[in-house]
Amino acid sequence: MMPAEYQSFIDALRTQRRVINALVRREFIAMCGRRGIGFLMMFAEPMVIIVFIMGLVLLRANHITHTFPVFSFVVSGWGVMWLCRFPIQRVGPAISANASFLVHRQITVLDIMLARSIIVVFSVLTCIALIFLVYLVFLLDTRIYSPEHILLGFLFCIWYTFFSCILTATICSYTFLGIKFILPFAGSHVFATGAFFMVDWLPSTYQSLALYLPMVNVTEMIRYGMFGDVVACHYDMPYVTFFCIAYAYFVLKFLYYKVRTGYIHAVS
Amino acid sequence: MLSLDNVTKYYPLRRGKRCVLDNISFTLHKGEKLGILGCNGAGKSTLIRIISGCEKPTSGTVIRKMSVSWPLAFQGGFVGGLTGLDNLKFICRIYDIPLETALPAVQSFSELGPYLREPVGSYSAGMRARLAFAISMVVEFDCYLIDEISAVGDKRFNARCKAALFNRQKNSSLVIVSHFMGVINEYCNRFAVLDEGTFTLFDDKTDAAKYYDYVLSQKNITI
Repeated sequence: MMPAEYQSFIDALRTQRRVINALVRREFIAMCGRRGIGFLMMFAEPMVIIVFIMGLVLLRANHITHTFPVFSFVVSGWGVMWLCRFPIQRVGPAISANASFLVHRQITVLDIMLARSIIVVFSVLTCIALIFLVYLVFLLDTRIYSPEHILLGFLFCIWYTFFSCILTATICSYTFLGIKFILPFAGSHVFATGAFFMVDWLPSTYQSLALYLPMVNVTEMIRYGMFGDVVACHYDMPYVTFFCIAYAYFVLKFLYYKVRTGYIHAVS
Repeated sequence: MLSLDNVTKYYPLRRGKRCVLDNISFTLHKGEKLGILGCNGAGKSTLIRIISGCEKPTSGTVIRKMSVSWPLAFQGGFVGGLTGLDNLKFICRIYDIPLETALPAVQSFSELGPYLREPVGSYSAGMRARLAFAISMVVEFDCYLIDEISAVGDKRFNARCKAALFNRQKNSSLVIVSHFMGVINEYCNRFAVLDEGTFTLFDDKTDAAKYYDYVLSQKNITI
């Protein structure tokens, strides 16, 4: 016989799963429609943007020579950048648009954010996975050095993105300035993820500064996973782990402070 | 049993904060029907939301030892782009109710016919209210929270709502908030007046009505 507290915990988990399932389905229908090929837009939109801009970069940069091909450099760095940038741009109105659902006690702000983030992150992740697949099958001439580093890097990135989405949506839910905050915040990830540079290329004084940016560490980790010692990668895994935990803590504190003080509430 | 103990709620303003509910305490036992009177801005809807658990009080505690509904406001928490059926499916998933049992009940009560499969955004206010009420009746609760029952719908719809709520759910508890004494007078056995965050309980409906009239006269409001 299971103790009562474990049983209630399992019941709570079941409820949580049911709620997130319902919210994800509802979000999906609201975003893509129920019939036809509307759902393809979910993948096509980031795909078109990513492929188009990647194409432009490759055309512009194919004369540059480095220790590894430009396409490998772009594929390894841009995944993190788009995974950080795209979802943040899409979640701004998530809380205010779904505030009416908060009348149901089972649904929390976190559930709403989780549902929206799952859909947006999944759509970008699918695009990135497709690009990776093309790269692995057609373009990579040696084997991947360490798949674990790549997987871990993307897990860190998803974690960071999820809490960045919560931060953005929370700010947007109580001030109109939030909408103005989205673009610069999302755009800052173009530089703050290390998509355009490797830490080793920077002057030594800037290297330590760049490594304060957690997503630069993550990009370097993914590049290490892809190319190993062919390139010099600098990253600090304990620092990224600590940052991710601290970031999550402060974002959740901020969210619950806003909920408790009445800035975020149900609209019936 | 449902119990509120020193519940206080502040809302932030641009400058400072406003106390909407001030140290509210009461206990509601199973089967009791509490009617809360109050004029606009008195804090009725906030109190209902706090009782339902969808909003947290600034201080104080709410103890729920019975299942409490969401605030039935008859406007619904609907997404305009989704059909009535999608919204029903959503509620069924949230509350773990089989759609096969819920659908016939909603179809028969809402009388929406083929419109149930149309986007809620295309519904009239009356159609939305019918759907909202039908969906909320699908879920069984020990205590129903009702925000302004007389606000929406025609006479026939109102009568059906009341029949469903007060006759079918005879043994359930109710908390109704309203501007008007009418419904509260007819169906409640406990009474309270909420005025500028202050909650006053009455055992007798005549006393509650007198006090409410006094509050209204102080504010030069006629209902």
